[in-house]
Amino acid sequence: MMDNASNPIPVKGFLHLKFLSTEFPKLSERLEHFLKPDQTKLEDPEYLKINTCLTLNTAFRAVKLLALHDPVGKLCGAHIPDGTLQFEVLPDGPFMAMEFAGKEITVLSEPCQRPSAVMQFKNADVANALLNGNVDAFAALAAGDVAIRGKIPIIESVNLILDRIPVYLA
Amino acid sequence: MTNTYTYPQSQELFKRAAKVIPCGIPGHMSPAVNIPATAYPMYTQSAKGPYFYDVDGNEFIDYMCGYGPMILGYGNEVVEEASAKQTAAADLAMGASPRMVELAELLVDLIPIADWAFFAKNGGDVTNYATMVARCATGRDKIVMIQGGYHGVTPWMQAPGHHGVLDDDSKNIIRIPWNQPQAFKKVIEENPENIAGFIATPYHVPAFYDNELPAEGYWQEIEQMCRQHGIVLILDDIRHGFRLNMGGSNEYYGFKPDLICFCKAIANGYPVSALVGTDALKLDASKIFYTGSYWYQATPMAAAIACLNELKRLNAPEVMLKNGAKLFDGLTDLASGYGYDLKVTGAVSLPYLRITNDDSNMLHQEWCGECTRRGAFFTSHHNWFISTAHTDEIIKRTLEIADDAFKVIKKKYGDEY
Repeated sequence: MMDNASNPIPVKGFLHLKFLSTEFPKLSERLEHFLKPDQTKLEDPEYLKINTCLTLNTAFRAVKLLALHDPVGKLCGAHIPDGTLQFEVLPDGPFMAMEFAGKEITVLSEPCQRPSAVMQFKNADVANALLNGNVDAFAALAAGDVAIRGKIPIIESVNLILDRIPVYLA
Repeated sequence: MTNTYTYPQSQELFKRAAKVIPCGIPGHMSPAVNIPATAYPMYTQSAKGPYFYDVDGNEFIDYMCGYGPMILGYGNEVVEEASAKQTAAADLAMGASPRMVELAELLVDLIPIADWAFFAKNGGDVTNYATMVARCATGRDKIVMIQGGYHGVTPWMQAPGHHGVLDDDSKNIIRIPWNQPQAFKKVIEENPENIAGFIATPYHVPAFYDNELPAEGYWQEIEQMCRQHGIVLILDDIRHGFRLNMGGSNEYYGFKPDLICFCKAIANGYPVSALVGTDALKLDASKIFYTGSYWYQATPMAAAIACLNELKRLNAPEVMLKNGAKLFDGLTDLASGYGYDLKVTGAVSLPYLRITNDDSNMLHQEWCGECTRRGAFFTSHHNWFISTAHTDEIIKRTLEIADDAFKVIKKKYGDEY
């Protein structure tokens, strides 16, 4: 999508709408700037924070769609026990949560008081590196850079679904 | 109160490992499953009896028994003597060892359903071989297994969606819920004359969840359906084997499988696994070419002979069930004194534990971590293992550590749970 190899939305018939022909490309370019990092951009702490926040938001929303519609995502999603998963980037956030109740999945923008499972990142650098696929998650867990607790099957299944995202962006 | 451990050497080694080994420590020994990971040691320097010692010099009573293989205590003299004697003579050399014949004869003598035995290295080697024997014998494709069941890491054993696994790898695998014979019946009806085998553990041991014993009559019903429809009944006794009954865990639950897979406790930590089977499947087993570079090592076979004879002499399953009951009765009583409900599921020689006051498991994870930091290696994600080395004295010390850990979490959370 970002390399103009595929369309994010069905555009046929909609191109005459003003928003799609004017503002949308600008928005798309701006989002691309923040969602497609390179090492130079990531050296700016402010950029890193925005990239982390946007990536986390995008990923959580993608998990919901994939768990409901992707064939493999549905298989992984079927094993997720009920509860709330929270991602926490220390010390100041972002915090993102996702609630699983039966077949309903809700992305929550507010931190949850009593999550069922928590994936906690030591700092924004660690969160960013993990979300952008630049570190070994198991090694990060063992080293204490990432901590998990609670209902681990939720985290395990969500991580498997997260790994389906690149299939759609390839 | 017991002093708490720190792990600077373990962590230093892990930093080096992460540079040159994927995951640092991959697979089931990965520290990532221990929660919090920082409460646990990562590298072991030595082990003796029920204890292991990490690279920081901390001593732990091992309730994972190296994930099951240790059953007589680390460095058991009887097993070590047999192994040393065989190593001095020949371990891996050209030709099969007489120990292989002796071990097969011993298993045929020990396991009532066994007329033959085949040896490999790991549990997954023989669960995979068992399905090949089932397919060869029946000429059918499908294998039925239990949802959440674990039989190793070959792609067909892993659920679709896991990395490196193709959807097609599970094409001939049908997963049904545990303890539901009617689900098996339905699958047989939907796949007439095409189910080669049914594979399951003696009771259900899913990671992160309570263990589930077989319902009354479950195994007998499964066995009857297998007989009626010509399906090979495979018992995966890798985890449970020799901790419930020396003749195979099926003897404990009163049914007769066609094939039984053993590994873990068979040789007190030496690498050997076995598939045993009935005479009716011997010819089919012989047709399959299946081997590995180290499958003929004689030392593990000598260790297995010594281990099995020692387990038999000690009446080990009974000892472990008795000692397990002492320990887990003690732990649940202790927990109750602090207002916690410690639920023990599965057999007491390999049970799963969970403090039920907190549905998320965080309280239980914290308690296990606090126990580990004080010298009782408790995990929260997997069933534990008891050995004959977990004596009254060890149990007493374990209860003291557990009590200290309960005090810590009670002080921290008060009556929140």
